Amino acid sequence: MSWLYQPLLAAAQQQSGGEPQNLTLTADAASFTITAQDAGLFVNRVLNAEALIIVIIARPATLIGPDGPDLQSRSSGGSGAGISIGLSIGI
Amino acid sequence: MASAVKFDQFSEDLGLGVHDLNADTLKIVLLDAAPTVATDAVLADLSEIAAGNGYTAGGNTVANNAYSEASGTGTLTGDDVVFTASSGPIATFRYAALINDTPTTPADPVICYWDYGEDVDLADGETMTIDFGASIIEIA
Repeated sequence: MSWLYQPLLAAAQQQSGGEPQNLTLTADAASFTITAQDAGLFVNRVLNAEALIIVIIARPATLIGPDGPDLQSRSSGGSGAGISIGLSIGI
Repeated sequence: MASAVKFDQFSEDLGLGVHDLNADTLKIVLLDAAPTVATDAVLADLSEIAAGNGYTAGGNTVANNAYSEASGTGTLTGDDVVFTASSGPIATFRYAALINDTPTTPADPVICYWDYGEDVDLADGETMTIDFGASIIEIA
């Protein structure tokens, strides 16, 4: 048996790192949008929308390499059809 | 992956014909204190959380439960169970126990339980799914 805890999108927490400024989380039927300013955003919670599970991690600006923001996203378990993910980080 | 912990009483109840794991109504109840496998025998012995905000006293039903045997191992299967907090948080819990809601003597005998590992506070609108995977329990 495994436990699957599904918090609300709005319940996403900062678990480490600095304090992001102007963090907003929005979602509609087709997409998530996360926007933040400043460094140190670290969101590590399972976000659930219908059948799609998304984990998004944005590392502090101090770790960002020359190629731009070190941003990872991973999705699994969803049908995928017709679902898009909108993600922007303003640093 | 949480491992099921079998109640001692379940072994006795199996031999005495208390359970019909195919036909009986099985339920998952949420607990706020660790069960005592050696002495807990029925639901009333467990520390079930208070009802309210999406949690019903006596727990949620495991739909489509079925019991079968292959190569000497009995396997209980059933649909996952989902708890959803509504109109407020569900009382803090840590454990989920499987009980049989059908028998009356003894009433609501216990089968096994799982430990989440820490207290869970399910806020309004959040869900906790008890995902059994391929089987709920196996009896070899």
